[in-house]
Amino acid sequence: MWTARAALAGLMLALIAPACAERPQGDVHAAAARTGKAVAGALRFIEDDAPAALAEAKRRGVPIFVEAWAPW
Amino acid sequence: MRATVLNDPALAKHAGRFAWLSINTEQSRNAEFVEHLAVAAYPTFLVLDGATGNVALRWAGSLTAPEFERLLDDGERAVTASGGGTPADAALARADRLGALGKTAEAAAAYTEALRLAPAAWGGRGRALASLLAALQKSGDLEQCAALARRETPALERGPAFAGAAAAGLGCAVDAPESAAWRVAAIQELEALVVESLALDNVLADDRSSAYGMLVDLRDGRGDQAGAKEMAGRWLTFLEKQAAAAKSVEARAAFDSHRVGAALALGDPARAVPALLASERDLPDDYNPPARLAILYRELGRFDEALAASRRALDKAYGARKLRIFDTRADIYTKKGDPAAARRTLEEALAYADSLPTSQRPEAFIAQLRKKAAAIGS
Repeated sequence: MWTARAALAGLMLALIAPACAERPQGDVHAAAARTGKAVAGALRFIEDDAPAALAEAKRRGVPIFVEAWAPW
Repeated sequence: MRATVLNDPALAKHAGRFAWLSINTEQSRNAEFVEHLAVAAYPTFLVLDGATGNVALRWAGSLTAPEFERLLDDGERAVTASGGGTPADAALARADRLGALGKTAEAAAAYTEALRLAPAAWGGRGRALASLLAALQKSGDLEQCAALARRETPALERGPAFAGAAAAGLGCAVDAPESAAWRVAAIQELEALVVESLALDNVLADDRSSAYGMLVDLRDGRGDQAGAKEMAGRWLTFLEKQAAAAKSVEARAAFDSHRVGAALALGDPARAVPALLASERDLPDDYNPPARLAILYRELGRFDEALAASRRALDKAYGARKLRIFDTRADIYTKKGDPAAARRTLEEALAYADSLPTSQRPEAFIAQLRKKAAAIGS
């Protein structure tokens, strides 16, 4: 649901692209990120650089929080 | 969520707790890492052990700000496996770790245990229930999934957890074989709860939009065309109001894909065109507005405008999404009566697919493109 929520979005998007259900659609709030502009928020996300995030996490001794999104 | 929840200044107090990483799964340079994360839906939020990079918690879907903050606590517990918090919290952390390892049945048992141990006002109840429903759905136990949703959802406080559980349960019931004796009653009961969730202002707009879409599909699937259109009209009106109230261009454009879906379901594609034109004007680097305009123009029979829009989208697009744009373009040519151009477009798409990294190749879709190209050629 929230896994299934993605499935719901997939059902809806089937109206748009019925042949392409294998990559479920989900985030309708990725617009800010997909513009390619840095987002001025409270949390400073490292963009598309997993090694940098892993290095920072090791250095600070903290876990990593990952937002995985698609620009559709 | 990026345009809304993740931008909330109130989250600043959590900044030091994690290294924060945002991954565009369509970028080829992220392919290997995305494969490691095993992401199957968008958005997905994960918490990784900072020492090993191993996934400790995986959550697919949107979150309200309070849910997001709770997920941070749960993520830390899943990483440390410390059992901190209540016994229910410890069971939830164990379940999350099992789920992250792909041990779906064991995770389901641990989520069940967490719910059994939980006091009535436990803050983890909503996500534990959601995760259990998702695990049951993933393991194919649709009857248990729907039964759990029917049992637990009516008593939940009306909010995100209620809406999510109702939708998940209905999804399981709809996916069940039509021969299942329990299916009709389950759909009837859970559909009423999903309808109830549409009016909840404390549920994220995109989740409510997805619920509208599901209800449209449900009516359409049982041959109730009038009911489907009525719901599609309500859906589109809801989205237009939400978009009008958006505080930024990005937040407004976030409703675009749903507006296209609702307008198509309503049989009125023209109604979404002005919004998409505005998005293309305001977000000139984004390929999504022209890609969606191409679909609307195709459905309106405005083929030259559709081809021009799809060309603008192709010029900006990258990754697997580009295949969809090629596919739309081929359909436009077919509808326009130019099968040779349609076939050339599909061949171009297949050549592009060959250039994608393995982890970004949507194999089933590529097979459909290949089949479609062969059919045009025959």
